[in-house]
Parts: sequence; structure tokens; C-alpha cells
Amino acid sequence: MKNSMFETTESSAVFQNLAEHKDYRQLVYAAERMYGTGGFGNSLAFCVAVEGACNVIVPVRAQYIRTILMELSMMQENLLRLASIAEAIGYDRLSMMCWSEREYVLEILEKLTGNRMILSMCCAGGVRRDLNIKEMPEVMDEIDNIIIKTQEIRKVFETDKQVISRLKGLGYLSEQEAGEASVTGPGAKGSGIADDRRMLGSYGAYKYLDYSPVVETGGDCYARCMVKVREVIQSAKLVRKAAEKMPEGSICAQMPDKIEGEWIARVEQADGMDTYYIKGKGSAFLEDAGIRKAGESNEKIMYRVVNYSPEDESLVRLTLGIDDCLKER
Amino acid sequence: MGFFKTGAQLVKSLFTSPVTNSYPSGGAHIVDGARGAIAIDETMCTLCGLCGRRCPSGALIIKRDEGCWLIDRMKCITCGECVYECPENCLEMVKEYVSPESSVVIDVFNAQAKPGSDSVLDGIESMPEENEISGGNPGTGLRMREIQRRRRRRRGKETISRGKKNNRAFHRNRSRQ
Repeated sequence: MKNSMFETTESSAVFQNLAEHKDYRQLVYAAERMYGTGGFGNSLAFCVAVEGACNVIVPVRAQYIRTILMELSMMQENLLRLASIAEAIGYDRLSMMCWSEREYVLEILEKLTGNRMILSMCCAGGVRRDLNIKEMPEVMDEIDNIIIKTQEIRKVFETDKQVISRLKGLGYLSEQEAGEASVTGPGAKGSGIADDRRMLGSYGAYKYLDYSPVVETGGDCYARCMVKVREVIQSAKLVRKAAEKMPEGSICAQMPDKIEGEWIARVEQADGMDTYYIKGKGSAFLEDAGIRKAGESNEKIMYRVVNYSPEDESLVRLTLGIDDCLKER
Repeated sequence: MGFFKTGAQLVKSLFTSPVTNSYPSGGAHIVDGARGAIAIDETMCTLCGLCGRRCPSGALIIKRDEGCWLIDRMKCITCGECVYECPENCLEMVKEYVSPESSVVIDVFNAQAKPGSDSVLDGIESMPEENEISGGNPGTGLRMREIQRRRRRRRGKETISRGKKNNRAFHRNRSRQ
């Protein structure tokens, strides 16, 4: 798009090209398929931006369903990151434990929506299909099992000498540096800053579920790893709570045919904060659109991180949430 | 100590089955509500064209003059947008998925088709002539090979081999009806 207000990042350029030819209803599916594992979070962020521009209020039941699917999606992403970190350390058994836990989460997603990663459940105005998890006892039991097994993984991370000696002290980021650079995600939470976009209450049902972020004060790779493990357990408990508290009601609000106005949506993903920007021009097509992924924002703080050698750089990047696929060559 | 914790898991996993499903020996594991393919009840289709305008990947082509509804199976991303948008509710997402193919696959359905409509495939960009095209879904639908054969004859190209009886694909598609 010419004269885009949004700074062109790699992910943004592809999305802008698509946004010239497709209207906002079709772009939801395009946003979902932009990144490999974070499918639902991206479509949710785009829908939040479009709803904000049109001042549409999403019904409460749809917010609860979005919360459940978002937390399940974040669980599988966090477990994937943990498995990669364990593999980078050289602890293959722990890595395989994380991968197998992730299988259970993906099976739950398949039972609920029909697909494992690309869910196609979010639409502008609400969600597409209704979910009733309270009446699926096998899903609730599965979530309880996942909590128990992830507690075991947490125990390994806390007590295993191999993990502690490899990760503790590596890649230290102080609280002041993290605050100055406005880092988000595990980089901030591992350094003692309680910063999470879910606290704002601008999307999802987190304000009804008493959400507060997980914080560790170590500032090193070990603290960030512990943040990820504790977040998996926290997400599972949020899913259970949301399934029990979900009220009755409609699942989708009426959306106008034309988008007018602009909006920035900030959504929390496993790596940090994702920013989606859209600007309408009075029709179903958008005038301007842009994406900044968490990995691209977090990349900028690498120069403030100390105490790591060049061989350990990829390990430090994994814990900070910098996705190497988005790195410019 | 960490080793004994994972050591216990290790011993336990010698006696339990793996977490993943074994395929193809264990069979395909498809749940209800899986997004496999789009099916249409063509008797209810009014050829309004709304599904074609909403499709994100441009897989649906509606030809009002010939009275046909076409879907390019390889372009379809099974998002389900056409199912939600159809005002007549004639589209449905079924869980049987389309098997992978190495060529273009277009299924044609007659919704108020006119007789002798040979030109149904003209002007579709995704349709190079030499590619093999599979027949329609089980049930109603024009057979693509018939149309291709008529087109070639009309344009004076070399005649198709008369060995229809030896043509396995022809008989397979024919028996699907």
C-alpha cells in the first residue's frame, strides 16, 4: 500500500499486499494463515481492530469462547517454545515430554473446533460456532490431566541440575533496561515487570476471570523459562474457569458493511504483544493495514541483554520470544 | 533429582503406547465437525453469486449463463465463509476431505443447467487444457472429461483415442455416478 502510516516490517508488507485486493471479511482468514502456530491469536487481533474501528460491541458469550480458544492456543505455543529450549540445552527427554503434552492440547482443540491449529473460528463481531465445554466431561478431564502433567514438567525445571546450571545467569536483562525498552512477553515478566495486554480488558473475558500476570524476578533465561511453564498452568486453569462461568447469549454481533475510522489492536501472544493496525475508507476494503509481531519488537532489545556468548545467542533468543523465522537475512 | 523424575517417566513410557495416532495403520482419525470439503445441494441454489464474491481464495465460480456452480477443490481453504453467507443454506461443510492431486480439480454442479452447455469451462484461468480433470462428486454433476472431449473436437484438434474401453479413468468416473 502506498503511503502507509505503518512502518513496513516483513510481515506487514505481505499483509498490505493482500489487503489491497481483499475485503475485511476475507482478510480474517488471511491473517490467520500468516504465521505457522499462532493462528487463532492473529485472527483475533485483526477482528478486535475491525470491531474497534466500527464501535461494535462483541457479546459476552463470544468473549468467553474467544478467551478459551486463545488460552488453548497459547498453551500449545508455550509448550512448543519449552520443547525447543529443552532441545537446545540437550535434554531430549524433557523436550519430548513437552511435545507430548502439546499433543493433548491439540486434540482438545480438534474436538472443539474440528482442526488443530488453523481454527477459522473468529469472525468480525464474534465467533462462528458455539462451544459448550461444560457438557463435554472428557475435555474437562483432559484439562485436569494436562495441569497435573505440566506440574511434573515444572518440577523438572525447578530441581534438575542440568537445566539450572545451563540457564541460570545466562542472558541477563535488568528491570530498568526492560522497562526502558518497553519489552513485552516473557522478557518483561522474567525481569519483574507485571505487564500483559490481557490486563487491559479490551478483548476477551479476562476482566471477569480475575486475571493477573505471572512474574519472576531473576531476569535471566531461567526466569523466563519458569514464566512460560507457569503460564501453561495458568492458561489451563483459566480455560476451566471460563468454561464454568460462561453465560448464555448470542455469539455474533451484526457488523456494518463499510468500515470507517482507524484502530490499533494490541493482543497478547506467547512471545509478547502483537500490534494490528487498520484504517478504513468507507467501504468493505481497507485503506491501510499493518502488523507488527512480538518477535520484531523484541528483536530491538537484544543489545541490552548481557552475559551470553555467541554460541548461546539462539538459546537467549528462544527464551526472549524472538522468532528467528522473521529475522531479515 | 531431575534424572529420577524423568527416569520414572522413561520406564513408564516403555510400557505405554505413544501419544500420537499411528497412521495409516491406525486409520484416519477424523472428528465430527472437521473441515473437509464443501458440498452443495444444487436443487436449492439460485446462482446469486454471493459465495463467489465472499470466497477469500477465489475458488468458487458461478456461471449464470450456463447455470453452473463450480468449485476449484485445490484452491479451497475450507474456511467455511461460503457456508455462512449462502442465503439459501444450500452449502454444507462435510468431514470427508479431498485427496491430494497433482493437477487442477474442478467440480461442476448443475443448478438449472441448460442443455448443450459446452462452454462451461471457458475463461477460467486456473484451467490449463492439458491437465487431467477428475469427474464430479458422487451424485449429479457434469463429467469433466465429456466437456473436455467436446471442446477439443469443436476446436479441430487431434481426435481423442477411440480406446474408451481401455481408459481406466473414464470408467472410474463413470461408475462413480
